[in-house]
Amino acid sequence: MQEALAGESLLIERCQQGDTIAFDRLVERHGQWVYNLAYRMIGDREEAHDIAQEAFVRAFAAIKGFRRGSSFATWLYRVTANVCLDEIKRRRRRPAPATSFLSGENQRPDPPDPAPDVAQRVEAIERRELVRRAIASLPLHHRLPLVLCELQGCSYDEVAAIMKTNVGTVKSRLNRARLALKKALEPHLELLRGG
Amino acid sequence: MRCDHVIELFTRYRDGDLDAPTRQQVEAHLAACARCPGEFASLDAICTYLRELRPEPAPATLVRDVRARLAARPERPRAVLLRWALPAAAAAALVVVAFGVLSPILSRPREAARKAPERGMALRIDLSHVKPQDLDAARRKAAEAKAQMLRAARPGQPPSAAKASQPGVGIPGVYPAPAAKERITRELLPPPGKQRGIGPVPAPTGAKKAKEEAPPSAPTTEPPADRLASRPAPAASPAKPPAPPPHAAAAPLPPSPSRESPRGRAQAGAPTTPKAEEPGRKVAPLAVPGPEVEGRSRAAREAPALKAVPQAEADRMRDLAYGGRGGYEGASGRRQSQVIVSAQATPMQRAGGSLTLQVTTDQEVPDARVALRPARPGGRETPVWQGKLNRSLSNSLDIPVGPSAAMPGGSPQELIVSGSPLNRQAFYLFSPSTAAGEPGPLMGTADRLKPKHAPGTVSGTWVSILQTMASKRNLYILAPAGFPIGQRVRVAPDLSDESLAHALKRIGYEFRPQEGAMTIEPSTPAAAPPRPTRPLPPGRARRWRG
Repeated sequence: MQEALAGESLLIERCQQGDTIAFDRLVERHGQWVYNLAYRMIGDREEAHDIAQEAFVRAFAAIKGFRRGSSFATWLYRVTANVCLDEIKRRRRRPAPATSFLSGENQRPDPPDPAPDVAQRVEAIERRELVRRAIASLPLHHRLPLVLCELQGCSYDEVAAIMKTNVGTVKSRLNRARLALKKALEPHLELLRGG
Repeated sequence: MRCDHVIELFTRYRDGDLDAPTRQQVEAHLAACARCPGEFASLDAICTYLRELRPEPAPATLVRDVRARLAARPERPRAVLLRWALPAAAAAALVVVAFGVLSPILSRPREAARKAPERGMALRIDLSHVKPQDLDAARRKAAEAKAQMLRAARPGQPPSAAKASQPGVGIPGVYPAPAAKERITRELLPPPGKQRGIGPVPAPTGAKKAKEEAPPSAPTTEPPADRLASRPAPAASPAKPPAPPPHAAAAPLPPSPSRESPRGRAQAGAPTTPKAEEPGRKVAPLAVPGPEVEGRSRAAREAPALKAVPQAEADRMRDLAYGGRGGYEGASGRRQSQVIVSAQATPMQRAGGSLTLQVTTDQEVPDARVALRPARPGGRETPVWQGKLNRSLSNSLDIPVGPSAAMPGGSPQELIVSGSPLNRQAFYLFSPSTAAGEPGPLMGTADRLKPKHAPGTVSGTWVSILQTMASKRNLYILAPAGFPIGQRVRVAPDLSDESLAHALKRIGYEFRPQEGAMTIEPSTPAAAPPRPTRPLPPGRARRWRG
């Protein structure tokens, strides 16, 4: 673990000197997490891909301001969360044109489930879609802590650091987000339990 | 401890974040309460499901894409310029402005400021470049200017002096207030004869008269319609009879609901108290349609009529705003998607002849139709179900199949599900499982052709999904039961209707785009015409028995 952290700080040092090869290694390390955060927040794979790219580009542009001693992951996730919030606000201001939703890239189906049974596949797709819609219906200040804590596995402290707020606020928002999600998903609880 | 307080603590209780006494209180409440344990179990089930969700694999091209975007960024000097030069320029401008504003105040001593008019501080500045021989003349000029300033500041001065001392006199484009009103009245108002619905207006002779004659909204050429309409018809002018505008000579207004309003009655001739008329002002009757009499503003009259948004449309717009799979008017103009799904006949061999079909849609299909058709060429369709498919949720269609629809044992059939999805996207279909619990032969690996993969091949035990690129719609085609597994299909890069037809032809199907419908049928041999079906009453879901 220590070696990994030492290696990461070395990579960050090199990135601060403009080394893009070192930054590639950081993208490889944190790419999945960043992409998943974007996907859970936005609910669209293609958009999540774009957001992950944008987050890394912004991170590289601002990496000189990164202070040593703090957590690079937390810093990177905060950048990602900001990009997600910007994108969501931009969408609200200017909804995406219809063609982007008509195109198959934004509407591509979920990847095939390895479950052999058709019924299980159907249910898995339904569950994912239900949860995606329920999360998308949450307000932003509830969605972010829920995604970070429940889906990304962050601790309260990490969520608080990413959101730049205190732990008490995180707990409160997380509780409200969970209750709101429960309210939205309660009619389909049996379906979720079946999964 | 009350229920709402316990519910507030659910998250922390579940995460083990409560201290021991509070935790015991919560547990005691959960043991005693009838409602809260269920609530907590629901919350726990949802959180458990969320935690168990598998992470999405990141795209394999992420590193490469990020690198490409980094390489495409603008040059760093520009970034440095934007970061430092612009704030520096802004700060410099601020300093200059602050200096310009504050320097006269700071540099002028209090005593000098008090005696400035007498000592002619302005003269001192002006005289810095004056030659000695012109000094006396310049001083006289400055004294006159100072005297004018003093007169202007003194109340009760004669009008001529006041006019002479008005700041801005002699400067083109700057007018004292009365003159400005006169000029505005004369120049900005249209000529009297050209005013819509208004008779000739005498030319203003002075500032006061101009003020009287100018309507409150003088710069606008079109006074509010209701005010004009409420004025009585003018008397004929002795000098020049008013020429009514063309629209004023039109036929009388048709009766409109607006005349029932007090204002409308006033226009219709009901006794009202006319407003005081200026002498010489002649107002022709203004023919305006009914709604304008109600006093709608011009902007409101020109604005398009707003329509109430149906709830379904509002939902779709909301989804669109959230980036969800919302509905919209498709670019292709078509609003149908027909999916052919093949199912084995085995489920229909069960006792009772019941067939269960699961349909998962990502949209609502209000007029979905399900028909059975033998997979053999020339088989006739038999409609078995018609109704509404709900959006997203699993639609489990329990279709009773009569003897006429049942096929000889084991022979495959096709289920044809068609309809008009609201958002004009395709919907997923899954065939029923076989009696042995195995998925149908076509429910193997779902594959999808991405644009960047086309042209390409699809193979496998498969459900092929063809994407039409030209019309931006998806067409999910589940191959028929008799389809040879492993068949390779080449898909054109730009899959228009023609290329889709070509692709389908290669797998033995014919694609016929029609108005409001799209049909995919076996191409060989020629399909028999479908049996006419009984018309359904509109808007009613109904089951069909074969």
